[in-house]
Amino acid sequence: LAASVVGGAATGALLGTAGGLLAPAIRLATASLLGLVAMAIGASELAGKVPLLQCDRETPQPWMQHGALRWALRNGLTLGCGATTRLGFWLWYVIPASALLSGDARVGALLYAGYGTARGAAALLLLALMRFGQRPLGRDDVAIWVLEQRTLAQRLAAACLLTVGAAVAVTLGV
Amino acid sequence: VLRRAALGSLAAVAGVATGATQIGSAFPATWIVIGFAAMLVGLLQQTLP
Repeated sequence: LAASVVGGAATGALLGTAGGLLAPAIRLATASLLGLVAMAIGASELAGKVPLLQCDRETPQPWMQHGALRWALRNGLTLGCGATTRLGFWLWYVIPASALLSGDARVGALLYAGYGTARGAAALLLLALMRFGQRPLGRDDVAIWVLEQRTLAQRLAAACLLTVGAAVAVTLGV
Repeated sequence: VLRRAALGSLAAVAGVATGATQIGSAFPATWIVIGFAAMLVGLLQQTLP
Protein backbone atom coordinates (compact mmCIF):
# COMPACT_ATOMS: atom_id res chain seq x y z
CA LEU A 1 0.00 0.00 0.00
CA ALA A 2 2.78 2.41 0.98
CA ALA A 3 4.66 1.69 -2.27
CA SER A 4 1.49 2.22 -4.26
CA VAL A 5 0.94 5.62 -2.60
CA VAL A 6 4.57 6.61 -3.21
CA GLY A 7 4.44 5.39 -6.83
CA GLY A 8 1.31 7.42 -7.46
CA ALA A 9 2.60 10.54 -5.72
CA ALA A 10 5.92 10.43 -7.61
CA THR A 11 4.23 9.98 -10.98
CA GLY A 12 1.78 12.78 -10.21
CA ALA A 13 4.55 15.13 -9.09
CA LEU A 14 6.49 14.46 -12.30
CA LEU A 15 3.44 15.06 -14.48
CA GLY A 16 2.50 18.19 -12.54
CA THR A 17 6.03 19.56 -12.95
CA ALA A 18 5.97 18.78 -16.68
CA GLY A 19 2.58 20.47 -16.98
CA GLY A 20 3.99 23.57 -15.31
CA LEU A 21 6.25 24.01 -18.33
CA LEU A 22 3.20 24.46 -20.56
CA ALA A 23 1.57 27.86 -20.95
CA PRO A 24 -1.65 28.23 -18.87
CA ALA A 25 -3.64 29.03 -22.01
CA ILE A 26 -2.56 25.75 -23.62
CA ARG A 27 -3.45 23.79 -20.48
CA LEU A 28 -6.84 25.47 -20.27
CA ALA A 29 -7.64 24.83 -23.93
CA THR A 30 -6.51 21.19 -23.67
CA ALA A 31 -8.59 20.68 -20.51
CA SER A 32 -11.68 22.14 -22.23
CA LEU A 33 -11.22 19.81 -25.18
CA LEU A 34 -10.56 16.78 -22.96
CA GLY A 35 -13.69 17.59 -20.93
CA LEU A 36 -15.77 17.19 -24.08
CA VAL A 37 -13.87 14.03 -25.09
CA ALA A 38 -14.48 12.58 -21.60
CA MET A 39 -18.20 13.29 -21.93
CA ALA A 40 -18.33 11.61 -25.34
CA ILE A 41 -16.39 8.51 -24.21
CA GLY A 42 -18.36 8.27 -20.94
CA ALA A 43 -21.67 8.39 -22.82
CA SER A 44 -20.43 5.82 -25.38
CA GLU A 45 -19.21 3.52 -22.60
CA LEU A 46 -22.62 3.67 -20.92
CA ALA A 47 -24.14 2.52 -24.22
CA GLY A 48 -21.56 -0.21 -24.84
CA LYS A 49 -17.89 -1.06 -24.42
CA VAL A 50 -15.41 1.31 -26.07
CA PRO A 51 -12.02 -0.25 -27.01
CA LEU A 52 -9.41 0.88 -24.49
CA LEU A 53 -5.83 1.98 -25.16
CA GLN A 54 -3.70 0.17 -22.59
CA CYS A 55 -0.62 -2.00 -22.02
CA ASP A 56 -2.80 -4.80 -20.57
CA ARG A 57 0.03 -6.39 -18.59
CA GLU A 58 -0.06 -8.37 -15.37
CA THR A 59 2.60 -8.51 -12.65
CA PRO A 60 5.59 -10.42 -14.14
CA GLN A 61 5.91 -13.79 -12.39
CA PRO A 62 9.76 -13.57 -12.03
CA TRP A 63 9.26 -10.62 -9.64
CA MET A 64 7.83 -13.04 -7.09
CA GLN A 65 11.14 -14.90 -6.93
CA HIS A 66 12.93 -11.89 -5.43
CA GLY A 67 11.35 -12.17 -1.98
CA ALA A 68 8.04 -10.92 -0.58
CA LEU A 69 9.22 -7.43 0.39
CA ARG A 70 10.97 -6.61 -2.90
CA TRP A 71 8.05 -8.03 -4.86
CA ALA A 72 5.50 -6.02 -2.84
CA LEU A 73 7.55 -2.82 -3.21
CA ARG A 74 8.00 -3.23 -6.95
CA ASN A 75 4.40 -4.26 -7.52
CA GLY A 76 3.10 -1.42 -5.34
CA LEU A 77 5.14 1.20 -7.21
CA THR A 78 3.90 -0.17 -10.54
CA LEU A 79 0.27 -0.28 -9.43
CA GLY A 80 0.48 3.24 -8.00
CA CYS A 81 1.73 4.55 -11.35
CA GLY A 82 -0.80 2.40 -13.19
CA ALA A 83 0.32 3.24 -16.74
CA THR A 84 2.07 -0.09 -17.37
CA THR A 85 -0.69 -2.23 -15.83
CA ARG A 86 -4.11 -3.34 -17.01
CA LEU A 87 -6.22 -0.19 -16.85
CA GLY A 88 -9.66 -1.55 -17.60
CA PHE A 89 -11.51 1.78 -17.56
CA TRP A 90 -11.29 4.98 -19.61
CA LEU A 91 -11.80 6.80 -16.31
CA TRP A 92 -8.14 6.06 -15.49
CA TYR A 93 -6.98 8.60 -18.09
CA VAL A 94 -8.55 11.37 -16.01
CA ILE A 95 -5.72 10.94 -13.46
CA PRO A 96 -2.58 11.52 -15.59
CA ALA A 97 -4.39 14.13 -17.70
CA SER A 98 -5.48 16.07 -14.61
CA ALA A 99 -2.04 15.78 -12.97
CA LEU A 100 -0.37 17.11 -16.12
CA LEU A 101 -2.86 19.88 -16.75
CA SER A 102 -2.79 21.02 -13.12
CA GLY A 103 0.71 22.33 -13.84
CA ASP A 104 1.55 21.96 -10.14
CA ALA A 105 3.70 19.18 -8.67
CA ARG A 106 1.81 19.22 -5.35
CA VAL A 107 -1.65 19.01 -6.93
CA GLY A 108 -0.44 16.28 -9.30
CA ALA A 109 1.10 14.31 -6.43
CA LEU A 110 -2.01 14.64 -4.25
CA LEU A 111 -4.33 13.57 -7.07
CA TYR A 112 -2.23 10.61 -8.17
CA ALA A 113 -1.53 9.56 -4.54
CA GLY A 114 -5.32 9.33 -4.04
CA TYR A 115 -5.41 6.84 -6.88
CA GLY A 116 -2.41 4.91 -5.53
CA THR A 117 -3.99 4.75 -2.08
CA ALA A 118 -7.30 3.45 -3.41
CA ARG A 119 -5.66 0.92 -5.69
CA GLY A 120 -3.41 -0.41 -2.93
CA ALA A 121 -6.21 -0.36 -0.33
CA ALA A 122 -8.60 -2.28 -2.60
CA ALA A 123 -6.53 -5.44 -2.12
CA LEU A 124 -6.55 -4.93 1.67
CA LEU A 125 -10.33 -4.44 1.60
CA LEU A 126 -10.76 -7.76 -0.16
CA LEU A 127 -8.46 -9.46 2.34
CA ALA A 128 -10.53 -7.99 5.19
CA LEU A 129 -13.69 -9.25 3.49
CA MET A 130 -12.20 -12.73 3.30
CA ARG A 131 -11.16 -12.70 6.93
CA PHE A 132 -13.97 -10.80 8.68
CA GLY A 133 -16.96 -11.38 6.35
CA GLN A 134 -20.27 -12.77 7.61
CA ARG A 135 -19.17 -16.24 6.51
CA PRO A 136 -15.69 -17.54 5.74
CA LEU A 137 -14.81 -16.75 2.14
CA GLY A 138 -12.20 -18.52 0.07
CA ARG A 139 -9.97 -16.87 -2.51
CA ASP A 140 -12.11 -18.30 -5.33
CA ASP A 141 -15.36 -17.00 -3.76
CA VAL A 142 -13.97 -13.48 -3.62
CA ALA A 143 -12.49 -13.68 -7.14
CA ILE A 144 -15.83 -14.82 -8.58
CA TRP A 145 -17.77 -12.16 -6.65
CA VAL A 146 -15.40 -9.43 -7.87
CA LEU A 147 -15.65 -10.61 -11.48
CA GLU A 148 -19.45 -10.63 -11.22
CA GLN A 149 -19.35 -6.92 -10.39
CA ARG A 150 -17.50 -6.11 -13.62
CA THR A 151 -20.52 -4.78 -15.54
CA LEU A 152 -21.56 -2.60 -12.62
CA ALA A 153 -17.99 -1.34 -12.29
CA GLN A 154 -17.89 -0.52 -16.03
CA ARG A 155 -21.12 1.48 -15.82
CA LEU A 156 -20.03 3.23 -12.65
CA ALA A 157 -16.72 4.25 -14.23
CA ALA A 158 -18.49 5.43 -17.41
CA ALA A 159 -20.98 7.51 -15.42
CA CYS A 160 -18.16 9.01 -13.37
CA LEU A 161 -16.21 9.85 -16.55
CA LEU A 162 -19.29 11.56 -17.97
CA THR A 163 -19.71 13.53 -14.73
CA VAL A 164 -16.04 14.55 -14.61
CA GLY A 165 -16.17 15.64 -18.26
CA ALA A 166 -19.32 17.67 -17.60
CA ALA A 167 -17.83 19.24 -14.46
CA VAL A 168 -14.67 20.26 -16.36
CA ALA A 169 -16.63 21.54 -19.36
CA VAL A 170 -19.02 23.58 -17.19
CA THR A 171 -16.19 24.93 -15.01
CA LEU A 172 -14.06 26.02 -17.93
CA GLY A 173 -17.08 27.49 -19.70
CA VAL A 174 -16.99 25.43 -22.87
CA VAL B 1 -25.33 -3.05 -0.77
CA LEU B 2 -22.78 -2.46 -3.54
CA ARG B 3 -25.46 -1.11 -5.87
CA ARG B 4 -26.70 1.29 -3.19
CA ALA B 5 -23.13 2.38 -2.46
CA ALA B 6 -22.51 2.90 -6.20
CA LEU B 7 -25.67 4.96 -6.62
CA GLY B 8 -24.85 6.93 -3.48
CA SER B 9 -21.35 7.67 -4.77
CA LEU B 10 -22.72 8.81 -8.12
CA ALA B 11 -25.24 11.04 -6.40
CA ALA B 12 -22.41 12.54 -4.32
CA VAL B 13 -20.35 13.26 -7.46
CA ALA B 14 -23.36 14.74 -9.25
CA GLY B 15 -24.13 16.80 -6.16
CA VAL B 16 -20.61 18.22 -5.96
CA ALA B 17 -20.62 19.00 -9.70
CA THR B 18 -24.02 20.69 -9.53
CA GLY B 19 -23.09 22.62 -6.40
CA ALA B 20 -19.87 23.71 -8.06
CA THR B 21 -21.70 25.27 -10.98
CA GLN B 22 -24.09 27.06 -8.65
CA ILE B 23 -21.61 28.71 -6.35
CA GLY B 24 -19.61 30.18 -9.19
CA SER B 25 -16.13 29.45 -7.82
CA ALA B 26 -16.26 26.00 -9.34
CA PHE B 27 -12.58 25.28 -9.84
CA PRO B 28 -11.75 23.81 -6.38
CA ALA B 29 -14.92 21.71 -6.46
CA THR B 30 -13.92 20.28 -9.83
CA TRP B 31 -10.68 19.07 -8.28
CA ILE B 32 -12.77 17.29 -5.63
CA VAL B 33 -14.76 15.58 -8.41
CA ILE B 34 -11.54 14.56 -10.19
CA GLY B 35 -9.99 13.35 -6.92
CA PHE B 36 -13.07 11.26 -6.25
CA ALA B 37 -12.84 9.81 -9.76
CA ALA B 38 -9.17 8.93 -9.17
CA MET B 39 -9.99 7.02 -6.00
CA LEU B 40 -12.99 5.35 -7.58
CA VAL B 41 -11.03 4.00 -10.54
CA GLY B 42 -8.36 2.68 -8.14
CA LEU B 43 -11.04 0.67 -6.32
CA LEU B 44 -12.82 -0.44 -9.50
CA GLN B 45 -9.62 -1.84 -10.97
CA GLN B 46 -9.89 -4.64 -8.43
CA THR B 47 -12.70 -6.02 -10.61
CA LEU B 48 -10.29 -6.59 -13.52
CA PRO B 49 -9.62 -10.23 -14.38
